[in-house]
Amino acid sequence: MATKSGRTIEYEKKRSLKATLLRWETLLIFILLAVNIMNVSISPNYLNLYNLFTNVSSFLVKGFIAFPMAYILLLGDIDLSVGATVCLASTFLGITYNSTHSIGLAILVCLVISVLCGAFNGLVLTRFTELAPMIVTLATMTLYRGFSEAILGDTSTKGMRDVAWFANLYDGRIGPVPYIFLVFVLLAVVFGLVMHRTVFGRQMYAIGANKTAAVYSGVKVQKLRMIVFTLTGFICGLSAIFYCSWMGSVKNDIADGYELEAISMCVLGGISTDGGKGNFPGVIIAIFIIGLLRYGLGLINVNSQTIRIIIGALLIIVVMAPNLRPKTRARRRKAA
Amino acid sequence: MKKLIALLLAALMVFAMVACSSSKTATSAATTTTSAAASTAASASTAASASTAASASTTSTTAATGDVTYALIPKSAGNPYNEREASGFEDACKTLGVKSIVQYPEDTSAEAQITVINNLIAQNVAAIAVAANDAEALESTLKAAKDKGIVVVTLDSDAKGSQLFVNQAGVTEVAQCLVDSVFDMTGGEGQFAVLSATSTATNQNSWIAAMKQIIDGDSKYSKLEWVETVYGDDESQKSTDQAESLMTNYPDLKCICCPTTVGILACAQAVKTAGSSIKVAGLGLPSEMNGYVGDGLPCPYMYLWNPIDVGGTAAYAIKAFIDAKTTGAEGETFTADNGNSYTVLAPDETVGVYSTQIIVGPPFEFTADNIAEWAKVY
Repeated sequence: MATKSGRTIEYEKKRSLKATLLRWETLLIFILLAVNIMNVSISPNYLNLYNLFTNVSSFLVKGFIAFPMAYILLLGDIDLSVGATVCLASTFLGITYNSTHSIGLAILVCLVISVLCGAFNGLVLTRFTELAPMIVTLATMTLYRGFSEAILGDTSTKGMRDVAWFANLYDGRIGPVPYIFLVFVLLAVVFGLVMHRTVFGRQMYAIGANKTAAVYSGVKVQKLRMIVFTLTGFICGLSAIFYCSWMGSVKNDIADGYELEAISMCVLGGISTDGGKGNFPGVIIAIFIIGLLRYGLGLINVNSQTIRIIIGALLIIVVMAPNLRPKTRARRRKAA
Repeated sequence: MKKLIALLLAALMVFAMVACSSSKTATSAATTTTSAAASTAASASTAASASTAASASTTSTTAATGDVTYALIPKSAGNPYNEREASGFEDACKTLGVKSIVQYPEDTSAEAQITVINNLIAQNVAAIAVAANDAEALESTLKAAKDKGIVVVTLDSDAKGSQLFVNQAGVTEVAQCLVDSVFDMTGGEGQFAVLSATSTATNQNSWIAAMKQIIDGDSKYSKLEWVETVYGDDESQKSTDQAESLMTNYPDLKCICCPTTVGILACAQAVKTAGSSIKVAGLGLPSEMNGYVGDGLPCPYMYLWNPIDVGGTAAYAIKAFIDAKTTGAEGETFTADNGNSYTVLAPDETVGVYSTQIIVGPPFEFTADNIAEWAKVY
């Protein structure tokens, strides 16, 4: 498109092989391949599909939370209360089941509670826009876990797995593929499409990139944030349901650290914590990188403390990586 | 251009890793660094740190020949009691000529243990011995292990789904010792509290349940008032906080009973620091409690058993299973390879023993006289 001065402004990014190869997702795919090759070469048991899916199921329980977390990070916000929401929702599932013996009602209550938790976050943040999301969600994290502790005390609520179809939610498979994996794939497709192919998704990018510009462009920022936080609550409820189906017993300290796991998965996936940057496929690849790396190392009996160190190192390097590029770009510009 | 080179180097490094099938040699290939590309840095460090970790920190001991491996999953890491159990298990496996793997879960939760159990199932170990953090949550995972033909026993703390529970001492015997200590230390009447480990730990819960049965069942204990049961989660800081809050909330408290080695140490330290006259009873490791046990000290006497024996007996029990000397059915008697004969007793769900059990031995009393000597052993 030629402007008055005659200069041509490109409005389409140059699509070249080089550009595709240098994308963040390509790097992630490389790392995923490297992790898999490493795992295969260090343990003969890795490629057993049944066992692989058993392990995949266990990290997918918290992997779900990475999806709405990606949206939240895209907006430039953060949500530290997801673990506590899962805990509170599970608590309610447990006590409702144990007092009414109706697992259907328990599931409903669990989802309602988790949505309320998410909506409360959203309400506070959208009504008082000057508050930092980190502080508000830190406070609600403590609040929700406090409720759990008050309700359960030091005991646990259990028995959910006695209902066969409920236990089968986590255990059930079609061939070697667990139901939870299928749900995960479905949700991944939905979340990915919304993020990349809908107006809603584009508006999220806009808010994250420049909130003021988005407001003046007519994007309903607060409404969007409210929706995203409530959605986070709902997905936490889903995670809680799968957790209860898996464990069958709930204490007040379960789901500890889920928020940090979800944020790690998103950050590794290329979502910038400042907002406005990142692609959804990256998040999915990142979930599997972390999960499979843990599995592979666990298969050769590396102890969990060492695994933590490795994951931490991986994250630091990955976070530092984008910051190396602008510097080298600046250096090149200076040299040119 | 630089970035492209960096990417190619990364790919080269990955192939180098595959070509050199041993994970150790990959470290040399992984030392390429370029200023520009994050890709090289990221995948290089991942491979480097992963391969160094892989070669450095496996905790499996190799005995004589044989691909048979027994695995032990203690309750948590960083607990000397669990570490002694593990050493007993490893030594017994060495004597039996099998490989052993000891995998500590990340924390005292069932989730961490389930992750470890699934990893071990994937490695096709011959047997798994687990000290359960939660009696019920492990059931489906243990069932999956049994379905694969893996022998599943529990030790120290039982879980549903185990084929045999290696019980360190009879639940009622342990509870009787604890109740008698409390009765003695309070002078027959007064308030006492219990400081336990985690709220789902099967072993502590079974002793507490048995203590309740004993106290309710005999009028001799009617003047004892059990004020509260608190949980220190086997963490020394939390246990200390709980002990201090007990002392503050119940000024008339005469005795705190701690059926966990972490709890009794925290309690004894808290009582000593506060200069209180509260007595501490319970189960403690002599090596830790040396200096707190005796007349005029917080803990007049305490009980335990040898955790090294518990770990060892678990290994021998597994061998007996594999050799078909026992099927874990109630009433069977078998002689294990360590020369001892064990009778399989019935479960007792009222006190949290869900599987058939064998008893390692009776609880042992530690007093001021013998504690110094035993502190050297464990």
